[in-house]
Amino acid sequence: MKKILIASGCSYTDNQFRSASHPEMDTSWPKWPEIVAKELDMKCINLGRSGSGNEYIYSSIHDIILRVKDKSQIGLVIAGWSQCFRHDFQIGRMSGVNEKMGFESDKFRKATPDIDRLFEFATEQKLAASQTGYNNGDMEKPMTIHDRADETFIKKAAGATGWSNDRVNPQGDVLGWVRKSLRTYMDFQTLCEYHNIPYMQTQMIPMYIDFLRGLMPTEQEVEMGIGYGQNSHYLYDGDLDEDEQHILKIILEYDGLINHDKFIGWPISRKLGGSPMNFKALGGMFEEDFQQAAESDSRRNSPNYISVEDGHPSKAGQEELAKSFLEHYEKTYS
Amino acid sequence: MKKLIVSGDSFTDPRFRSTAYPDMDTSWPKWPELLGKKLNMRVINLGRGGAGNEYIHSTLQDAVMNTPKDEIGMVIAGWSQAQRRDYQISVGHNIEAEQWHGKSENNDRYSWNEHRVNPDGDLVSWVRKSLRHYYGLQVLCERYDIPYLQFQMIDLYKDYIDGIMPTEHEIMFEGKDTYADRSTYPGDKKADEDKIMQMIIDHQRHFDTSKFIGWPVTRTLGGWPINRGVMGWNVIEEEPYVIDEIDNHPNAAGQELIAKYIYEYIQEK
Repeated sequence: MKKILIASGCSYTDNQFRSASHPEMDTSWPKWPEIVAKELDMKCINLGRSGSGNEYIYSSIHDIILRVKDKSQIGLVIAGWSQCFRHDFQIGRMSGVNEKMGFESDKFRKATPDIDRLFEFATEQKLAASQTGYNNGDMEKPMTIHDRADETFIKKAAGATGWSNDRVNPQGDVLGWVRKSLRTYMDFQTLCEYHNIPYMQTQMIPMYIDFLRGLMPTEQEVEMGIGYGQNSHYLYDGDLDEDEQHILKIILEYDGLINHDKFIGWPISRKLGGSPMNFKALGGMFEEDFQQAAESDSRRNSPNYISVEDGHPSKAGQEELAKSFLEHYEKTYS
Repeated sequence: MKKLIVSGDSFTDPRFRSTAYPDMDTSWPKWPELLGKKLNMRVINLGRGGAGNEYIHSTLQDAVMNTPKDEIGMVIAGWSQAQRRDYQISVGHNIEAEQWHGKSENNDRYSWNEHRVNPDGDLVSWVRKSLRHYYGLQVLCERYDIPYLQFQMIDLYKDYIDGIMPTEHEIMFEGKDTYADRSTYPGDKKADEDKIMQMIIDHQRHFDTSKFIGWPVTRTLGGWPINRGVMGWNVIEEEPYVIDEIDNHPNAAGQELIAKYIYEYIQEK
């Protein structure tokens, strides 16, 4: 029986990602969790969700892990952490489609007395992907009809658990959000180690620097003509240098607590010798290049990114991300 | 001497002050200090008035991760209401910190703020989030083989779903009435409580209930929060263990009763 790979993250991980800058673009290329799962011959549960912050990422993984009764069925868990200033919250009292599909729904509960049942059908009836009209990220191996139904069910249930987010948390400040994120990373590490589940984590996109530098307009805002470039930053109203020094100190407080072998790019900030995954795997707009917008744009115009307007990973970029995870997995678990 | 690390809300706060009676001397020993004495442990009491469950989980995690594990004798969480929202800013309010400690470099305690009711989400999701914190504490302690206990110090959701009452300060100084000025629950009470019950039942298999006093936390399912289960369900009529009918925080006798109950529970287990 195939083991399960559980992944969660933001838009870089979301297998239903759509480009706000290029709404007509077909972005259905396989995302890194599906590629990694295929290479490791595991069944993928990809909980990635565009716009999400770190509370969503942890909570979505936590909730699925708890639902798997036999934890030895979990082959690998990967968290691709997001920006610390995002704020996630959940509406549990749902209606309509969400009511019928969410984890709290009668339908889900009846169908999943424990989630193990969903993974006990690997060799059953097969149906070619082309016949189902469901390409699951263009994987070569056709999914079974049960695979399709159940993976879709889990994904829908995860997506229907009523999560929302704010781009910037209306309460607190960046130092508090950094602390909260680091605690969340520790919670994730402890959860996996406690259950003896193989895991990896990484800062998929920079944790705090975009906020300190002044947030750029979103791709949607750019499309709406609000602007693009340094002149349209939302300015940070604190002391950038002083606060960054505080943040670096806070990150270092966790240096002795985080399992470095399992955290790709630790200690997160390049100023401490770490790196977010997108920079590491795709090449990116490094701190020292920030003032050189033209150069940054040319980096972002690399084949690993969708375009200058949309800095999400392209098909090639997703393959690069998967390659990094696989290399690290090989190094850590082989 | 090993350390007893405790966090909670106003029932646990070593610096608790009555907002109904600001001049009252409330410096009686709180249950963590009383318990620490009985267990012969040095107390690190992180309790803070108004705190929610994110504060409680976060402060315990910070303390556990930064204390050599062989120095920790026990960790105890006295959980609060699901609807509270905690968040942290910078490095603390220097003025508030100085008021209590004089000039203090470590004013982390005062970097926390809270809302009485979380402005985002709803009760069902806040309960779910609280349960994640409870499980997180269990996993943390078991992962490091640290003795621990947890309990719902006050009701997890009942006060909110029944219509949240005015604060003691609002009753005393703004003329609000305890019952007439209750807020109305903004959802379908029956449907939501059913969901919450089911969620708690679904979580039962994940918890070591021998380390969770009063599990399954709500009276509807046969559980109880410490304040009711230990001090009595009719505190307003009897009042032997609370300050009075307006301020239901434990008085000196109430704190002693809570400490005694927890101590006996530990001895028994």
